[in-house]
This record gives sequence, structure tokens and C-alpha cells, in this order.
Amino acid sequence: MSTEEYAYLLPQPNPLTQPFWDAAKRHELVLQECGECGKLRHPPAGICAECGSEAIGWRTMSGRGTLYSHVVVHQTALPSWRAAVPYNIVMVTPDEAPEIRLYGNVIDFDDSKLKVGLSLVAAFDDATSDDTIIRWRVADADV
Amino acid sequence: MSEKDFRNRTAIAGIGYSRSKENPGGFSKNSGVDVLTLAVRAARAACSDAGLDPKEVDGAVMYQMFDDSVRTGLVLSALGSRKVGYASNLVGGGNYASFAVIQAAQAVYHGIANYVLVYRALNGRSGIRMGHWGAGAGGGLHRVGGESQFSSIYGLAGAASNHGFEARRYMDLYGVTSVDLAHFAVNSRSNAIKNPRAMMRTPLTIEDHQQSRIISDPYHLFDCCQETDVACAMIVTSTERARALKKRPVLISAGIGGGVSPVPNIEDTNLINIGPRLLAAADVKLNDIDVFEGYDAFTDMPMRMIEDMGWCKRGEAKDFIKDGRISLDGDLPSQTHGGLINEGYCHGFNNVLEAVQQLRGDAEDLCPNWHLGEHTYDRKLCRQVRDAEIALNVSVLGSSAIILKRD
Repeated sequence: MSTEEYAYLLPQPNPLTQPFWDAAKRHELVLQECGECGKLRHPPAGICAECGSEAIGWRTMSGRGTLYSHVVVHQTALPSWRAAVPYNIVMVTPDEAPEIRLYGNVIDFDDSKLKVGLSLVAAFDDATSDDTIIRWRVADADV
Repeated sequence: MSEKDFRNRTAIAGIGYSRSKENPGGFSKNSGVDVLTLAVRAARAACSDAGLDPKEVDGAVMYQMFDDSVRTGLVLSALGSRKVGYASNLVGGGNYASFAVIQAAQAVYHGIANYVLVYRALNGRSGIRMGHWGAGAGGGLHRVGGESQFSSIYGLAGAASNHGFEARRYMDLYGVTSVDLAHFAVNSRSNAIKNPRAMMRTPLTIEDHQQSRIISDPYHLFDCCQETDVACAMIVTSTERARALKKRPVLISAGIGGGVSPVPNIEDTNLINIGPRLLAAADVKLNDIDVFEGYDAFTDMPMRMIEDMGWCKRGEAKDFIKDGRISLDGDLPSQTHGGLINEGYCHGFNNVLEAVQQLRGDAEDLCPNWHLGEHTYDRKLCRQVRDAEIALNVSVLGSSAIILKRD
């Protein structure tokens, strides 16, 4: 699908976030870490809140996570999403970084069965020829 | 400055709403005027309430989000202030409702200004809309940058979705249901019915709440506040000066907090950090508090505050409410004006004004002589809390809070 055909919003990467999206295209979930002390952070930032270092590194995650919370949107202010209601949005904590919360959507699952604590696996949606969006699937064991 | 020295040395001398002939309560969906007019209306009303010449106002504190308001310089000029000593324009939202008062009190306490106007003014429905928070990037743009590249791309926008995550986690972890939230909503509405200012004054039942449309699950329509055009204002001065003015002063016992809520989990409120310090600074105990006005953009927020202050344990606010503890004759009357959800959404500031009225004993209701401070306590007409001496006002998620005391 071309960018123009994609109905929703797409990310506009900047120098700090570009590696995140480049990894997504390779079907990898990476998080930024401090190049000095190794503290993971998200969204990407230019300076470490732990040690103040401006050195930047990236760490590859397993793609496994836990549903931290969720909403099911029935009324949205985003014009491009109006046709999609109701739809879920989740917050996910990656297994390796329980303090970090990533927004996403759970796909191929009944929204009414979403609950805090479900095990999730990253699903890489090649939404356009230029963009891969990271969504989530409920892990088999929890279905 | 020590907390003991600051305690009760400053006061709220007057309050005002942007009332007009068209909108006698001050709250509306379409004010029909610009925000400066709203702000000055409320400011002049606060001066009039205090018995203060507006030209004597020599300081101002305001807060705004999304550049939706008017800055202090404009408002002070419009009041004819001649000797401005202090002005602060805070960039933020409901986190500053209590903090704005603290800042004004500090300016007065240190002698920088004598009469500080505090206001929040916005055309929140007919102008820049809060419900579209985060949606601006979606207005025809296909790509979104900043933090939106990790949120809006999944359809996230608006306060109900952003805060719905907190509510859902709180509900799932502590066994709180939508019906439990409905009990909170019904209590608020029963107070709003007796508040002539309130935008929502028709009776509400649990069933009405449950049948109302879902905005963003877990929030039904009646869990949510509504976008509003309004301005609310107050005059903060020294306790000494306030005593020389028209109205019985309401003392500022203590205030704490700023713009952030550094909490471990989203179901937590910042009261776990600042609650005990606030009580100590005011030298009051939890059970001394007679009125609680917590920021209620959504029903679960004050429930979580009640728990985090320690009135009950996590997950028990639902029972606290069902037991009638937050009703007008309970031991912790809450949202006595109907809260932000029913009176209207002045970004939390109307909750502060309500606390002031409860402590002065002149809550505006259906009693014939409420304005004289004469109340019937007939709960069909009256929403004045009996003998209210101390009030707690908390901003969004406990980001800031103040304790006020009757003089």
C-alpha cells in the first residue's frame, strides 16, 4: 500500500526516533538505551534521566510483553479514525523493560476480552511500502 | 519559608464567575464573547465579591493549555491596574488549579504584591476544544511527529482515551466496575441539581449512566466532564487585608505540588507523595477535613484520590461512596456543586471556588437566602455542608493540592 492509500496516521521520524522505525521495518522491536549506563527509555530522548549522558544506544527486545492497560474507543476526535470505531488502544510493557509503556493496538482479538495482564507478542504490520507499524497479538497461551 | 510561618497568613478574599444575562451561571457551551471578556467579567466579579476596587489588583496568576486563554498582562490592563508587582502565566492544565492559588499566596506572603488575581478563562467548547487534545496533528496531516508518532498513529487522542487507561487499570486491578463509577456520578449530579450554576441539572440514575453511550471504554458519557466556555477568578491577599474587606476570608493553610505527578503506575495519584506533607504543613488531620473537592474530569479520578489520601484502602472508594460518606451529610462531602462533570469544566478552578463558598457558608443553591449565608439544609433545596471549617482541593491526579480554612 502506498502512503497515500493508508487511511490512518503514520509516524514522522526524527533523528532520535529513526532507528526505532528502521528496526520496525526489519520486524524488530528496539528500545533506546543510554550509551553510558544502559538505562532503557521511551520515547527516545537525547539525554539520560538516570546519569545525564548524551550517549545513545539501542537494544533489541524479544517482542514479548504484557498488557498494562487499554481503552476501547467509541468516539474519536481523529477524523481519520472515525470509520474504525470501536477500536482498541493498548499500553504494553515489554518483558525486558517493565517500566516502559508502549502504545499499540491488539489485532485479531475480541476487544471485550482484553484485560490487564494478558501476554502479548509484537506483530509487525507493513502498513505501507515505507512504514512498518508495531501492533500486538495475544499470545497463544492466553487465548 | 517555613510551612508554619506561611500557614493561614494569606487568604482568598473574593471569587467570581463570568456571569452574563445570557449565561447567569457563567458556564455555557457558547459564551458568544472572546476569552478576554470572559476573564475580565470573572475578575471584576471577584473584586466586587471582595469589595475591592479592580484598580487595586497588582498581581495575577493564570494557567492555560493549547494557548486557549488570555495572559495576565492583557487582563491586568483591562482592569486598569496601575502598579503591577507580580504576574505569572503558567503553561499547563488541571495540574495547576490548586498550584495557581499557591503561587499567588507566595507572592502575597513575600510582599511582592498585595492583591493577586488568579483566573482560568477559556472558550473550551466554542473555541479551542480540550476533547481534541492530540487530534490537532490529525487534521489533514498524514504523518505525525513528536510523541504523537508513538500514540496518535494508534488512534489515541482526546482526554477520555488518554485517561481511560488509568481508569481501566484501576478497575481491573481492584475489581471496580462501571456501576461503581456510576454511583460517584449520581452523587455529583444530585448536588448539581441544587446548583443554579450547573450545566447538568436533570436527575441521573445508575441506569441512565449505564445506558449512556460509551465515549472510550471504560468511560460512559456520564463519567466525563464536558467542554465548557467559562472563566473563574479569585482575589488572593494577606489575611490581614482580607479581614478588612467585605467577605469572610478563607485562609490558605497550606499548598503543595507542581505540574507533575511522578507516580510508579498510572492508577496512582500523586497524593501518595504529597498527601502526608500537605496535612502536616496545614497542621490538620485527615478527619479534620470537612469538604473534599477533587479534580473530576472523569469519575474515577476523585475515587482514587480518596484512597490515596488514606480515607479508605485501594479499591474501597466504591464502598465508601455507596455508604453515603461523600454525600452532603456524610463525613466527606464531595463535588458539592456537581463537580467539573456537572457544573462545567473550568479546568479544575471552579472546584477551588466551590470550596471557598462551602467554607464561607454561602453555597449558591435553591435556598431563598443562600446569598445571605442562610441555609435550610433541606436536601431538596440545599447543598451547603453543615458547619464546614476545612476543605481540601486537589488538582488533576494529585499534581497539586491546597487546604483551605474558614477564618
